[in-house]
Amino acid sequence: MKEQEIYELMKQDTYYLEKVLQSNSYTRQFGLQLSEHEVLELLQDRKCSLQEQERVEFGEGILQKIIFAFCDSPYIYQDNYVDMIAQLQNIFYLYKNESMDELTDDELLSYMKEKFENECQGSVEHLEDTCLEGFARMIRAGTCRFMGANNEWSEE
Amino acid sequence: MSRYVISNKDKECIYSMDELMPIVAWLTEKYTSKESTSVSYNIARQLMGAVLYCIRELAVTEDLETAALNLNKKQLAKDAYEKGYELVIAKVNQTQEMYHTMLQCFHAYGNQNYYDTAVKGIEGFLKCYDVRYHPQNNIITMDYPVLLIFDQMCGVDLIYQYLNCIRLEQMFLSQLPENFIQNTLVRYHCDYEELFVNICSIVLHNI
Repeated sequence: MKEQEIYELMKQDTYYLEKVLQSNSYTRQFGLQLSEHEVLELLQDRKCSLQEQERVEFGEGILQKIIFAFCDSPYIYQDNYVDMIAQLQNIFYLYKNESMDELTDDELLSYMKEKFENECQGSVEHLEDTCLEGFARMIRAGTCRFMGANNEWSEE
Repeated sequence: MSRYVISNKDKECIYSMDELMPIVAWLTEKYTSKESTSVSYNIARQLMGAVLYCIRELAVTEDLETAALNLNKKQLAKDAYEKGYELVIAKVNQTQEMYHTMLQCFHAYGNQNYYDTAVKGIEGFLKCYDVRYHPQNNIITMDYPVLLIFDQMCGVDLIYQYLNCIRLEQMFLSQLPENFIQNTLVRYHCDYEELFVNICSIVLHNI
């Protein structure tokens, strides 16, 4: 890798790092905090997930949104925080593909949050293998649609 | 780092990924209506293709005078893209105009494929063509074979040239008596109406 490319990557990571670290000021009230090292780890996971799911991400990325959406969950605490966020990030990209990009980021996140809190009771595996799997199938078949900001889902 | 070379006869522009990526990012944001931070490789590839198509359109269309003025001056990628985009829109309008003019006296001489391609196909193209997000897409298959081969063209450039060929064919055929054309075609093949052949070349061989 050329020097310029390494510099560009570092510049990008620094930008995301700062952005994600800023979220600590909000998540601290839930007893959650990320260190620089943990954020870099999450950013590395993000790169791997994007590569694996064959996706390209521009702008501020989804990591911060995931943090804000899930930080108030009773199933997430400091000890499993990084692992949970990493898994949720991974699942998020997977199901963006599985839903054939028919869902917006906010729609997918709000569905994930709702199921994670209720049906899955904090189980990421259940969320991935059962809830999202079935949901993506319905989205692909066109038998389910998002009803808007009030989080109502309807099956036709 | 990858570089894209966009050239015409007079000059060659090299844009690095660094210059093109902000345009693709902007276009992606527009494409997803800011509702998705990521897109699949396929969409990203399509949008990068759209950016390059517009920039290339500028390089190809720029008249000699402008080219001479800018000979040693590379335009900013974003400016080149915006100018190219306007040129693509202008070309779509020209194509539309040419299509409507051609329709007024279009004659398929009974050949179904000729009619379907020149009348329905081009109409479909004009309806569905997406200048912003997929200008490199021809949409239609252009089943009617014209006398020229357009190897390295795509999008509206290709359709414009293709339509121009049909227009010239029509101009030529309209100079000949209709009976003569019909008889020539029947002599060529009794089911000529169903064939995927160039009408003009058959007539030319019998003049």
